[in-house]
Amino acid sequence: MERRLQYPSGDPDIGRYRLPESALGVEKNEKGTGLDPMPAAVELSADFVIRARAGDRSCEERLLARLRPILHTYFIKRIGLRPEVEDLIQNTLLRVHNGLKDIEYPERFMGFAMKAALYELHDLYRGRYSGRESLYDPAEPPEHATDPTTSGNAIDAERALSVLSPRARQILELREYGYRYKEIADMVDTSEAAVKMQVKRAFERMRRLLVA
Amino acid sequence: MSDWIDQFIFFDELGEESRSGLDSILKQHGDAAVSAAFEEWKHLRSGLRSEFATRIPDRHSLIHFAMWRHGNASLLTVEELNSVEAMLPDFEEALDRSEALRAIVERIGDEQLDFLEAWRLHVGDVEAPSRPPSLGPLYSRRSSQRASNFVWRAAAVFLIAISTAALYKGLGVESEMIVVGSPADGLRQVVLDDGTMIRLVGGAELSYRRPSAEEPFDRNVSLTGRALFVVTSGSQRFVVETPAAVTTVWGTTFGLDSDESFTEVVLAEGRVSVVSRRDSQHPVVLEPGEMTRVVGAREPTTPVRVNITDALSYTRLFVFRNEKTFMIANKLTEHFGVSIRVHSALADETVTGTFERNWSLGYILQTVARTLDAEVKGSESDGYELAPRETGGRTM
Repeated sequence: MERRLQYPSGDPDIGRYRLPESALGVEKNEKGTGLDPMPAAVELSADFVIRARAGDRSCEERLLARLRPILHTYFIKRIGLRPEVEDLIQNTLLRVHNGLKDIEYPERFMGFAMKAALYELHDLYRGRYSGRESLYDPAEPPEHATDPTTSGNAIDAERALSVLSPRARQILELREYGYRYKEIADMVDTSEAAVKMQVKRAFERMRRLLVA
Repeated sequence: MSDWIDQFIFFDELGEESRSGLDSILKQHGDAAVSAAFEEWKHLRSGLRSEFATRIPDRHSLIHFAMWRHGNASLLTVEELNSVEAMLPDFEEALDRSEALRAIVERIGDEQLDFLEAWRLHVGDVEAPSRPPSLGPLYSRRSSQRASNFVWRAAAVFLIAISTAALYKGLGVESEMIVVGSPADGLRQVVLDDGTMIRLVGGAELSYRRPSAEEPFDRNVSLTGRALFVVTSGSQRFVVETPAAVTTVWGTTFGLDSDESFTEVVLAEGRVSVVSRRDSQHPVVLEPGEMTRVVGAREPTTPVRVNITDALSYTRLFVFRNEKTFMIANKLTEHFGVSIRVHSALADETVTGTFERNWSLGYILQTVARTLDAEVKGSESDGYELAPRETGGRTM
């Protein structure tokens, strides 16, 4: 059951979440061209989140604008300077936008944004290799593929998995989760070359099993 | 192994164009046996993917679990937290069975920290766990019940301040030893191979022999400074060495504070034995809520009763062990400066729980209330009340 903070008067803008008077309203900068930006800590504060959650478009725009560079720094740190970074940022901002009305604890907006970023990052991992599952169309096996039902050369799937060393299994499972071999190398504290060698060895063991 | 075979082994790295050319490569170089091998390789990978997927039916739940696992439970919604707690046995079993899953959970910890650092860079300082944030469950339970949401089995808060003359500076200075340290003004949490979690505080350093396939983790560590240990139960005792003392536990929660010639041990839960390094013939065994000190070459002092919450405050945690609810309310009021009333029906109920001091008061009270099947009323401005749950009443 969803729980929301209940303020005594029913007004979400009471108590310690009220913006200071100086931060309210619109002030023009020296050139008279519009709003002076407030500090990031203010525009990412619970007050702004509460107002954005209540439908204040201006607050929401500022909120998301402040979040963007944080996400940019974060995703570059995680996956490097790749084209996917911009997609991750956009998807995360969209996720935040869609979830604003349901934020339970405005003072924990950072955690809310973190979760959104983590969801997008792991969705990216999942989608990395999902389109490459089949080397061939499973309905049309390649010309040179041996028909396992007639040749007697099929390997029971469980038996095939059982020949994997624990290390190889770990690496391949991480690969199936969606990590790159370089990322897997970081996770298992070794080099990318060593990771790939494990994969090759796994293939060879499987091939010997097939021949046996 | 031939380069062209590598393309099949690593087919998932190829772009669309390269993959479409694999068939012609196979015609050129391969034979029926090789083709069959590659076909089986695909099946193996597919089987692995399917089996692994059954362990992680929902990636978001895995993320929630990892956040909870790494000390960020306060960032979860009530529904998410309830879901994590309900699935804890499943997560435990899945982690026990899969090295890959453990690695993913640890990596999510790093992903969280990177986010916090990015936030700090653009916004300013935030209260964040140090790397790697792997302390086990911070939970609340009625003292008469077994903890249902305790992740890493029998955790005890074991603060061991051990000054060690044998510690190495830096990380992994010698290949046989692992050295982990916390920032001078921060925290660092570590999980050892046996599931023991250690929270290093303010410049503490932990060292232990690097485990290997031939020599698994031996449950012997050395510590300098202050740390909180959550030691898993096991057939093998867990030993913590400091320059002044040797402390032995079997699944315990205790605190240690030490320097070169002084060690103080406060036991929150379980049993612990403390001896002086210079004289191991006169051990002192602590009961929960007791404290002993080793100074220089002297024997450990006679155990004395202490208030665990106060004695372990330097862990930056609230540690409540069989603490009456009204006392918990007093401690929280003292810390947060907010009045908390406890209904008479709940005042003498005892609770055991550990909470981060930087969590919001509301969140802590909600956790306590959930444990007592109670509800929290009021607000920070007007004060809170813990009361028995009413049917149909308004709650926080």
